[in-house]
Amino acid sequence: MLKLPRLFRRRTPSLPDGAEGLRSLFAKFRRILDMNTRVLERMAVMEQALGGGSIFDQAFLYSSVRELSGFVHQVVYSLNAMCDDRHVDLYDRYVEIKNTLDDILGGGPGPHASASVLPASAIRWDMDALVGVLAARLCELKNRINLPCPDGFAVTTTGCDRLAQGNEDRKRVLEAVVREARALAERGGDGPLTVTAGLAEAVAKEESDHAGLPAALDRAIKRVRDMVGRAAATGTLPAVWVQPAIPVTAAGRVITSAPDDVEALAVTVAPENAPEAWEGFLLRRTYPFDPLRSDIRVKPSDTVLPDGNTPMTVQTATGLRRGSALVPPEVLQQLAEAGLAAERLFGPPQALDFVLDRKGRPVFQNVAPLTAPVHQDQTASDSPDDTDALAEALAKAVVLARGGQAAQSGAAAGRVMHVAEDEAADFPAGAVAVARRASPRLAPILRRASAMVTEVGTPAGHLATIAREARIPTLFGLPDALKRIPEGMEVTVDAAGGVVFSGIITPLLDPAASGAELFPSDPEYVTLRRLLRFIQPLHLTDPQAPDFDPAHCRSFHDIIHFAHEQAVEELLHIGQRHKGLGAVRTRRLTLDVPMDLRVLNLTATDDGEKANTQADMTPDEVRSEPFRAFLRGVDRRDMWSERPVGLRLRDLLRGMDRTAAALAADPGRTGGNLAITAPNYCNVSLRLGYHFSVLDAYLGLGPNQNSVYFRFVGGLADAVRRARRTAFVQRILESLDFTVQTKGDLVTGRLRHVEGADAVEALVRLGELTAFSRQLDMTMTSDNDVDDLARQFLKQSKGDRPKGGQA
Amino acid sequence: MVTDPDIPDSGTKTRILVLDDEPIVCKRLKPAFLKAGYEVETFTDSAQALDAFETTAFDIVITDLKMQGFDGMQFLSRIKETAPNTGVIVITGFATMETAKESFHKGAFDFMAKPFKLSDILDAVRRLEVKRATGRES
Repeated sequence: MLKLPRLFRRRTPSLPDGAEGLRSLFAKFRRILDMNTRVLERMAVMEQALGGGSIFDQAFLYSSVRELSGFVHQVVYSLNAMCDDRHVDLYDRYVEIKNTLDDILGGGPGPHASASVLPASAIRWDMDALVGVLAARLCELKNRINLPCPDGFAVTTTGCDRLAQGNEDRKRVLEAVVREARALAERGGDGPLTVTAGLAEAVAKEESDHAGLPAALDRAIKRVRDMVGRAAATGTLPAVWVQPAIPVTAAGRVITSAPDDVEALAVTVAPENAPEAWEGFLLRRTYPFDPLRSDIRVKPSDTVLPDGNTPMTVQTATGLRRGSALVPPEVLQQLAEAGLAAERLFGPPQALDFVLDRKGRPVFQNVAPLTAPVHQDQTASDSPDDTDALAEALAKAVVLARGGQAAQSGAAAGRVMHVAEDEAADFPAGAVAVARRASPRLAPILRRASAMVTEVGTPAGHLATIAREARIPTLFGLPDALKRIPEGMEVTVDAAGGVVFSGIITPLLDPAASGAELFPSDPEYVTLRRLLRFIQPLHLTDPQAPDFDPAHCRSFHDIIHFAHEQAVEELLHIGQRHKGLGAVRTRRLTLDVPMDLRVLNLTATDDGEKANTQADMTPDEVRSEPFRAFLRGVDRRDMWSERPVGLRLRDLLRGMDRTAAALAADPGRTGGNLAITAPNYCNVSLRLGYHFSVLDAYLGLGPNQNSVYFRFVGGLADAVRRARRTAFVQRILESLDFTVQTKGDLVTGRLRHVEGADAVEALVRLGELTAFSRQLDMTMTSDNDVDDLARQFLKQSKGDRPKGGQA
Repeated sequence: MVTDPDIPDSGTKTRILVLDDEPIVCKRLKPAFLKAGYEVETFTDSAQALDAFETTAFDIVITDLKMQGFDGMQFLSRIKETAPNTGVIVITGFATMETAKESFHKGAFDFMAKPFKLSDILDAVRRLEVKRATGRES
């Protein structure tokens, strides 16, 4: 771990005293806010670029990393300036991540380069230079889109190199191998293992039990080295993939673009003990992958097929006999879906090798491009025949709808289904989903769709991110989509072109026709994805958790989130931690409702408040836009319930829960409820009844800067009622399009990338929720109460629509 | 062939030259323009682009600014000297007020910062066509 020597850290000057000190503290806080907003905005631009809607180059990647590093550095500096250098270890994390980003930009192997052994969960497809192509691709399919691929671990090129060195290096690698193998056994892989060594084009397989693993490793590596020969071996190192051996009944391959028919998928499969008795299937490339041709062998009616049935077995689901094909239609469909999903991730066309286990279920063993990816060769796309065929097809095509913006570019076809948020279970895989709004709750549907179109929504936002993750062509904001794209119709969606055509336009589905799409095989795409992995994911979510510290920051996002939380904490504890600054003046807010709330206005002097004023403040005096919106909701008398909280003595005695702990452990707090405000920002932390909630909102210039964050922890009560309370809050947040995470009693919701008006509306609703939440202690005696209460809340809150606001 | 009611149909496809030292930009712009019905040639080397420009007629040039050797600003000047009617769109990852002003001063029709939306550049080309065909900005 690189530790910056103290010499090179800027010794942050201590804060001046008195009013000047306060101003300085607030200015640093606002600087952190400002820098964080810029980081989030640039992150959003980078992530959205993955979708192919904009044209960017290497220079963009370099300048983005440079800018982001600069912003994050300033955040770390400002935090330490606010907190008297109490977080200098955050500098170390910043430097480490920045070095990783620079390494990636330079084409380096990334932070895992020194690892000898890596488990499947840590492996990504761009790590092929380290773990071999086999492991990299299999693990990506498993980790990213949950395809049935084996669990396992890789011995990296670094590990294989150290094995060859002998002595201590070799010993350490073998220890790591044994550790991973034991972990694999604990996850269910305790039987025999398959060891596959790869070097250049050569592959060598060995079978072994756990005890014989080190010897099997050596054998496989030696064999593959011998295959490649001395000449080619210099400079390249082998890598090894270890997985549980699968008892196999049959093996086969899916080719996503059949050799004699590019509009079809081909599946071949043969029994394990009779590879010459293969069967072949040609399937349509669009759902439901109707068979165009099947070559099935005649078999005796008592033949046991890979799934354990015989041809005469009656299927409970359909009432029909099983039939004699080695793979039944459902498995063919599953294989076809998997093939297309692999194509979306890695680029077309792809070949996937699979085996069928004892229950006839496919498990993928390898995935590789059929030939060089279609778009390496630039001239492929401008053959006159292709362009003319496409132009002809487009000229004849009927346009159903035009407009919207692509969240993920690409073209796909299928049958239309109109969907609403709660219908995930019924959605047929491969259909084209058309919905009213791009709500995050449509994520399960999107993952199964071949394409998605919505009437409302933008390429920013959570659902758009999911579309880009799975690379499913998605078009948001197409007016009247539900009316113009009727259910049941077959359509072709060209996301980048912003068009939905009637029928299946085959030339458009040919990858060569896609236009300016960004392909997974483009180095800029790969680099951008790799960079984003150390920039964007948020790992630290619970400020009360023990791992909420600099050591656990794995991305720039973690760093700025940590810094923001610490900065807020610093302001909440000003009186205690900055004694020289003089007493901090907070003003009590007069409200019509039974809530005590004090306001710390960061720009009080700018807003013309008299210095050191003690007078109570009315909501009209509030200048902070997000806080005003929140107060509008809170101030609704009708949402409050005056009934006493029906807590039993039992509940009080029972809970050494987090709320009680939080209440007890925070003596330095300014006490009670506090809102920290600035013109475009507010942070409100509240204890109401026995609940603890935090609202943090920033309203900037445009959707990429707007952000509303809400955190709720339920208070005393039995576990069942607490769970219902959590479910209720989650339900309400999801109805407001927040992206919600729950962990025990903790509910965290984030709303980003929405228009200002939508953010304001969400804030009003959160205010109402706050008012309403006292009722959460009283009811919730049954699960139905969650639904009833949610309905009651939504009904009551709809009584106040902001004038001229969005529906 | 552009099927746009604002543009008189001259019967031939508009020819576009794209110059950018980053292959990914050329690689993505080319199929997009082809699909939109244009003829297009792309270059990552400014000397080759200049050669091509001086030997073949192009209606529209799209050029990056910061490149090795002969840079975009010089290319722009040269284009306007040789064939002043050529429409030029500047694309750059280093967009500043100064470079924008200078580009327009030297006769560029439009100036786009990278990253830019594909629809935006197609729109700029379309507007440029209208201007060239009718002598008016649309």
